[in-house]
Amino acid sequence: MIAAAGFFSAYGSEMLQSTREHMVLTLIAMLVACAIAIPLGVVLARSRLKGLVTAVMGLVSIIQPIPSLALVALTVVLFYLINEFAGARVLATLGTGPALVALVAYALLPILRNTYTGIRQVDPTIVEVATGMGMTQRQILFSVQLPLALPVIMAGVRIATVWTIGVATLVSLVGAGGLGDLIFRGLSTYRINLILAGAAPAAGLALTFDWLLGRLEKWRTPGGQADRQQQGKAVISSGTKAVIVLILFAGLVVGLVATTLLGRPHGKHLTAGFTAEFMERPDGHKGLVKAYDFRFAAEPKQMDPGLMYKACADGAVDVICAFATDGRIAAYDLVTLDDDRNFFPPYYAAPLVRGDTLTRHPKLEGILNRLAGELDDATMRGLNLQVDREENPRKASAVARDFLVSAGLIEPDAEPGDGSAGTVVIGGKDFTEQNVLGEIMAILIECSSNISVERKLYLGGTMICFNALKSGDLDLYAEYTGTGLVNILGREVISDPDATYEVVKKACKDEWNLIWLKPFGLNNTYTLTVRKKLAEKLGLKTFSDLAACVKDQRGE
Amino acid sequence: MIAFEQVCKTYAGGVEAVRDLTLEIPEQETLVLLGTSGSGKTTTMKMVNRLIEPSNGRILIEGEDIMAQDAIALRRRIGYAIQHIGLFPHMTVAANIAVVPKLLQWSGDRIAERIDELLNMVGLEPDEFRDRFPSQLSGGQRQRVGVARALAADPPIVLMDEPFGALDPITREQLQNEFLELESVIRKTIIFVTHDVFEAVRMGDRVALLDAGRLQQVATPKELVESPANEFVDQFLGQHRFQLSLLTQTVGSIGTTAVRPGQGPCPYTPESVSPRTSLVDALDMFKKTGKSALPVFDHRQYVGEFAKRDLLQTITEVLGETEAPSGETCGDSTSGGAG
Repeated sequence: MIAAAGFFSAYGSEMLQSTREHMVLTLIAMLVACAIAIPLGVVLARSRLKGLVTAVMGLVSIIQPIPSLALVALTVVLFYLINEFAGARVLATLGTGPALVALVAYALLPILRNTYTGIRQVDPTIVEVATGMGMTQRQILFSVQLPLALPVIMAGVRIATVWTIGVATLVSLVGAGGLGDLIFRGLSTYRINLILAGAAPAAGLALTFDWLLGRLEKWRTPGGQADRQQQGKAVISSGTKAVIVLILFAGLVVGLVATTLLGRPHGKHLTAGFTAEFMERPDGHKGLVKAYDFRFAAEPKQMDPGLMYKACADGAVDVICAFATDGRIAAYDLVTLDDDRNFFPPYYAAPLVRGDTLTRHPKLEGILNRLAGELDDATMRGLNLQVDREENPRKASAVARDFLVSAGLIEPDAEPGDGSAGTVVIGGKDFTEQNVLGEIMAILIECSSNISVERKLYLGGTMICFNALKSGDLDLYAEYTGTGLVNILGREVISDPDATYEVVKKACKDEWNLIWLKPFGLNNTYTLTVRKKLAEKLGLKTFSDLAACVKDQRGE
Repeated sequence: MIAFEQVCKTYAGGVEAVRDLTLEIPEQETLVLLGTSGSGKTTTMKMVNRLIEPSNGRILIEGEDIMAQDAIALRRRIGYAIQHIGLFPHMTVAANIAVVPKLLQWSGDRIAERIDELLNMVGLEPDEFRDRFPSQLSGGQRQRVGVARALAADPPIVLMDEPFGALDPITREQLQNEFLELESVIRKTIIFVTHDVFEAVRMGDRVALLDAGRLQQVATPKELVESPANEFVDQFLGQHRFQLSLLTQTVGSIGTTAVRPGQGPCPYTPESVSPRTSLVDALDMFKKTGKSALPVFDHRQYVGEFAKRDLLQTITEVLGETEAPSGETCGDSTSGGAG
């Protein structure tokens, strides 16, 4: 109970905020989807052109089998391509825009299909009688066909709403907020509580809307229970009921949008875009605002590590938690600020290997230690950029191989061994540098021994990798000393790099028999990064400058 | 008056539903279109309110070609009733009846008044039925509402497409009788479609028998039964001739002798007949009352007495006239053994 109370005091307001964002996204998406799909369904149902019906239905049906996650991703890329085509930034590639487009696209089919079927299944005799009585086409549609099709249409809206609530958890990945923020933070930091804090309201919303819309369907059905109980002379016509329902929905949406907008600060404030992991880890957003004693005017937007740099360059956000060794900082004309209070620990990257793996493959330690000191910050930035750049990007495996050859660690024509010495599993977190480091280690091992390598790169975050390593699902991955110290061991920051390394090395060996091999040389620290122009305009050089600037804007 | 002038309807695909139909329906007449399915009777009816448009020929209402009129306005002046599925299931009884008055933008008070008036007219208690939905009505009640709806805006012309089609025989006959009574009060020009020859004979001032799109005969029920115009009509009536004769002959039509002066004027009672009562109904009334003679009222005026033996004698005569064809059939089938 105490734990629960603590949890709610820590996350309660975020849960409320996220739930509200989630509902706003869902409702706006549903209203837009209804506004498109219902008229379209009506037109199709009344159209005599069979070809048109097949074509439109087919087109919309194509969207449905696309996995929802892929659809969200596709929308972002589509927006990006539109910008490229227009030669200007006409659309924000991140945030609510692409999220809504994806959600609407996903909700279209069930509503369209049900509207079409609903209208088509109205007894043709009824329509003929209506015609024979002298109703116009319009009157037939609004007083006969639509009311009779309404239960079927409502069923479609209900299905679409429940789907949309589910899919809306994914748009957190593109910075659109919602309950997905909590879920992905929970996943990247391995906190069940946090996952539940996102998942439970999402499930609750889905069930509530399902129930509400189900009630509405029954209420609307002629001859239903409600109708039988209807007494007195005031007959509420079905048209009036539909209008009441619409007004209630519109009111709900307006209310939610208004409170969300009012809850936001006015004017131009610095906005932050951070990864889910950074939002949650102790050496992330929480520690940072404590150490520098400031608070962003708006809750930082949560986004995928890969999308963050472009979002900053495009002005979708102003401050990001960049990785120091990411090539895109320079490529996108961003500058890193100086951590003048030494909040971030050093994050030297090194292979972290299971003790029993080293026993099983005694050669492994020697092979991996050949990488020691070979990868300094500049080298790593260069490699990362080759993968991340927009023009002619390369595959991480090709970049890794070229690096190994040019560093003289393998021969240009080196071939993988025969795999007779067994297999090791290499993991990696979900960003480019981890992918490149994973490939470097994998190719080096393959070409220097008969050990074969299974790659499990692009796992959800630090705690997923680390727990998989502990449990033996992974044999090794590249970890950063600072992350080990603060995030895994939960210790205080030590600013000396060697001391940090020694502490994590000893603790991991003693506690879990996990071995830190020699560092690669790079220090991939988190660093707050802004657009160069913005930094010049506001005179930002250090984290303290940023904190002061944010405080000024808040009027503190 | 409705006039069909050489009207043809050929559907896409070349099916000729109606061929060269010329027919006049005087004001206040009930004309029954009778025929089997595919005879063109429904097509003929639907051409009047332009649900179907003729391929050739003209249809005139009060001398005006309907094709020259606005279809929507035309339809609002013509009542339309079909089998019970014709009620809008999502509307209450009141809302169903109010459809055309609303289209004609009557005031709310006038509509409410008219609804109650019509419900009373078709024998449904307004307070009980006004707010019900069609799903909460019996088949007979639905038909009554259907009739009330067709009469709602007091149209001079009413089209009825098998309005009593989906009912059990008892309810059906009851509704037919009620409608006949109603009709004698409201006096409309009615086109009534049915495939049931008994219903046709019972309901129609005249009956138009159609087959394969062609008009075979148009005549009063009595003429139709007594002098079929051709082989087809004769066969169509076929084995029903005896019952039809009893239906088309009325107490007043079987001869002046039938109604004798009785014991003198007496107050009106429902246990009576009128000169227009068919012999079938008169027979029912004798069965029901068990009397040997019934008082005859013409418009509730006592005119005399009708004796059971006169009825039975007439029935025997009719049986003699109509027996021959069925007797032959019997003879044919048994002649091999008896000859």
